[in-house]
Amino acid sequence: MANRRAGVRIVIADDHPIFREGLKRLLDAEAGFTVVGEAEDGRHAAEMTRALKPDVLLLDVAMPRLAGLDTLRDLGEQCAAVRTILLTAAIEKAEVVTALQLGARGIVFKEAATQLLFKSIQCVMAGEYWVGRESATDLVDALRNLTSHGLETQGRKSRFGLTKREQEILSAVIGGYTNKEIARQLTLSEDTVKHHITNIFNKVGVSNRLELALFAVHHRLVESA
Amino acid sequence: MHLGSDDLPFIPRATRFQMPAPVRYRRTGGDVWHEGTLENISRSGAFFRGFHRFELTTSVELVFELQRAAGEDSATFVVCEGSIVRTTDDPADGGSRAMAMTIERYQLERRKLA
Repeated sequence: MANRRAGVRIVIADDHPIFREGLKRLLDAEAGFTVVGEAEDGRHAAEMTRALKPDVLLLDVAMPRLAGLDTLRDLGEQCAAVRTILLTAAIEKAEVVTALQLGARGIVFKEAATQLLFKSIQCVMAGEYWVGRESATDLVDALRNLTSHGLETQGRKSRFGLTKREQEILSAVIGGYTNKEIARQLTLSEDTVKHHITNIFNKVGVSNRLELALFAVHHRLVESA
Repeated sequence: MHLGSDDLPFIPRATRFQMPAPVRYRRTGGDVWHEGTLENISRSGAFFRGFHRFELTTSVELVFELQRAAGEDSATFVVCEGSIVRTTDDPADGGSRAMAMTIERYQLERRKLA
């Protein structure tokens, strides 16, 4: 738990002294953050994290003597309460998935603005995830957010296992049509439409029409102007 | 990982979607609409900012545009009704107040655009 006077306790792990020192100064200057330790490689980062149990570990992906992802593996469940944010110049999507599966709470690019890093720290402290430039409410959301901008809407829909008919009905629901109107448009019975909507709820994990609409817009499952 | 207890079963919190959007809000049944900005929303509540602050428990309506249909002259609006359950005391930059409301009733409405 963070000492309220000290704010968020942070350990920085990066093998570049200039970057590490610069980051330390930025964080120490920001109210609510305190750097409690620095490590120059992954092994030292793991030892320091076990000893100090910081609130947040800022962990460079590319480091000697245990790279970032291996450090995460090494820490494992022992330091589950420590929120790790990976810092990286570039990372493959598969590595992001691996990092999240290993327990990382965030991935921030080193080219990002300082304020974005601060925001990512606040987000993970609030129990959320941070990937790239945005927060995610939970791990599933974080993994779902890993879509390239080139993905077609159709591809996104099929990612949730929606059939063609379910996709048509989803679009109609988001379009504000009632079950009766949808049934008429698609030449179906109202009961069949309701059955499809229930299936859609179950597939995407929502509880009602409003949540479905919010989910669909948030995940860009429907074409919009 | 045990997330609930024998007396208090674990109930997952409703997913909150960050959805910045212009909103209009008013006291339920009132004549005057106020303008504000939605910050986030879930199936059970919405968090928004506006210059006109309502007191706790006030029954309010909130409307915002969800999406504009591609190639059509209509849009889907979300119309919510609920109660104010939280307000901030200190105004944010610009003087707006933040309010949280429950969503007790809602409708997705298709409206022709002017």
